Amino acid sequence: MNILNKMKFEKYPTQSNANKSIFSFTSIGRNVIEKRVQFTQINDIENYGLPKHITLYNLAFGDWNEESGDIDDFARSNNGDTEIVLATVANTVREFWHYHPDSLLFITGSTSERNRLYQIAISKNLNELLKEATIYGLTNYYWEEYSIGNNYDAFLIINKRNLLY
Amino acid sequence: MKKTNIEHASTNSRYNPKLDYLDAKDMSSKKLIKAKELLSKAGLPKPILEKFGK
Repeated sequence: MNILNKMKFEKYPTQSNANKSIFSFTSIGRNVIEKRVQFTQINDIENYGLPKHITLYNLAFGDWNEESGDIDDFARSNNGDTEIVLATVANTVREFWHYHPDSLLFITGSTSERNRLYQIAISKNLNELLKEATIYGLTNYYWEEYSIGNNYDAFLIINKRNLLY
Repeated sequence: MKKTNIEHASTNSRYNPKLDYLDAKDMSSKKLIKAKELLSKAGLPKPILEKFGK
């Protein structure tokens, strides 16, 4: 069973584009906030040493800003539903991987605070996540296997099952 | 807090054609700059390159 399915948190229903690379959902807490999750290919020109069939994607996540037409990943919404939002994002990863199995995910927060939020989400579910994914953390331009308590500038997540890693 | 739109079961996303337009717009290109900068300096983890690298 997919571990991201097993997470017991509630989650919001999502909408997506046809390519399953952009997801939207509505956070309902103190306010009603439209959220977006976007997976964008990074290794277009530079492949970072990967073979062609492996694709590296960046995961961007944040509040949808209608005026700018972009994701605001600096926003601090404090909407009182962080765990539900993170569980929803985790579910979009599961769905993305279903349609894009040969992909690695690169995640970096817009701020150190946002990176800490990601670390909390990963650390809370680490034992379960490691059954299905390999996770690396980047610190001072050095990758190491993810370790609870360390602070990271970015994360790399590999789906063990899809890539037979 | 309203919980009327919260789901407990895993479900697939519902298709929204408006999001296809956003895909074409490449809205997150600015956000890739930081990712590419970090990757250009750090590369990928050695075990990953040993597994998948050419």
